[in-house]
Amino acid sequence: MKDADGKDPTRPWVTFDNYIVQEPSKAQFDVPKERTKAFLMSVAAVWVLTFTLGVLTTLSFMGGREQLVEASVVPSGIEQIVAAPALPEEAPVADTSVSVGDPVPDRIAGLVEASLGSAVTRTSNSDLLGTVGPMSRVAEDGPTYAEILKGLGMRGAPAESGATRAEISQDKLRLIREGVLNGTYTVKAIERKGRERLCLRLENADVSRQEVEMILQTAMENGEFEVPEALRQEGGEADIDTLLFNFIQTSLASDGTAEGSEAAVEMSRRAFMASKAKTSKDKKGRIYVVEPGDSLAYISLQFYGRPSDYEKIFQANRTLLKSPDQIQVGQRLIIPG
Amino acid sequence: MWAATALILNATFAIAQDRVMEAKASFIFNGQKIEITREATGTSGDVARFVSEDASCGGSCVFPMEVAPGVATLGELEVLDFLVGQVAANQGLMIDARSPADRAAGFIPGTVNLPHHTLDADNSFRADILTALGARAFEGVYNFADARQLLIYDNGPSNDDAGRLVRNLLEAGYPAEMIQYYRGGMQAWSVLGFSIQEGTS
Repeated sequence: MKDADGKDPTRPWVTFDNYIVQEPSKAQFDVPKERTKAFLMSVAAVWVLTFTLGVLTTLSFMGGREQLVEASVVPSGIEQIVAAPALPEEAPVADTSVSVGDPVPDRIAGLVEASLGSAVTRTSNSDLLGTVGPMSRVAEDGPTYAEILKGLGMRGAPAESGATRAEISQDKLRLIREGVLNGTYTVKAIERKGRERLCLRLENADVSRQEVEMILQTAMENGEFEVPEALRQEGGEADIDTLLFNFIQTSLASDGTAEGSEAAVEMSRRAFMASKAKTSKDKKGRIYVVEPGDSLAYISLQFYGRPSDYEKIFQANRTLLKSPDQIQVGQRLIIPG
Repeated sequence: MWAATALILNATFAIAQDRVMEAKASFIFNGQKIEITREATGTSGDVARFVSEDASCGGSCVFPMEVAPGVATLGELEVLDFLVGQVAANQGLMIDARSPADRAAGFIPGTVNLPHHTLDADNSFRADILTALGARAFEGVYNFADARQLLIYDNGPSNDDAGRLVRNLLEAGYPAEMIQYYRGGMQAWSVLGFSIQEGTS
């Protein structure tokens, strides 16, 4: 069970604060100590040298220069430490490709040659990074909550007794939907249970993820709808963030307006760009290793910008997966191009 | 007193020596063994061939230490580290941003030629090149999670080819923290007598 913050009290919880803050403060303590040590030593050395030997000017110059170099080296050292975590990717994977020889330099050489040979023309495909969504036009006659649920393959319409709650949630969802149509949202990595997950975030709308989560959770517990297998995380829990994303995206894509479908594609673009999922290549193709908290729909969101494209990944991995909810941490899934 | 002085002198020397490394590298690139040493002396008189003025500023300009915000500037030892660490492991590429004609005069072994204008926004090969660098493409946008670390150089401080390439990459969305810049370029490289390869490649 989860409490209101979305935390699971039975599991260790690494918060943003205690995770992030410690590291820089440690670095800050280390650095000055080293610097003062070096500083004191060079000052002492310079002093003794100038005194005993008579080569005053030369040596004090050298001492001064040494200090400067020492000081300037410290920041670069830090940068390297900070950058280091990016390196220790899966070494074995890199090894296999080393033995084959890296094809990339040759491919680039070929492309450069082709590019130089051709006159540089073809006007580019619009603004690559233009992320401004279409301006708002709220579809009054959009699908109802029940229709959305049905469209998602979720079982049943809201029960009679839950009518009030359904209305509230419908309002919340409509609010989110409008925010997405307006383009006033982000898709970015947010810390969930100590891991970064891509989440849909409204900029202005007063809808918190917790509210939506509670609504969906209650509805699930009441049996008002069932979470599809592809939206089950490797631990069996419902992937609420991806569920919400899929909810909004599918309803926009199917509302029959140009604005709606463009907004749905724009959601894909933002999710695709924000993904930090890494892959490696092996004989079978592009490989992604399942991480804690993943659902098949979430993996699909990261590589195709749409949770609903999970079927592509499922079909490519039928030998591993009997059903979409059977993913496990560490599984090596093929991600078709 | 003398013992103490000697100790202090020693300590100072040790600190200084800690940072002095032999500048050479040996690694596999594209299936070939690359050796870089500083023994290529005698050719340093040739630096002039790398001192072309950048056409953009009417002659006598020199470009700043920082090529773009967030892009780290490296010196020779860090360049060698990058070649031995990142390039040899197929995780990084060292890129020559000059035109093929300039490159033919001599280049750093183990590097790839990617002239800066091949990544201009209106170059039709831009998408293919970004994909070759490891970016994933979708609906006109890119994801760089799988892309290579890049180290970019050109003729040196009097030349802005590297700067142009860096700006083109950043404009395409390549993350600044995945790009580094060797400002010394061929000018510093050749003065120091580091190995230089000539011809086309």
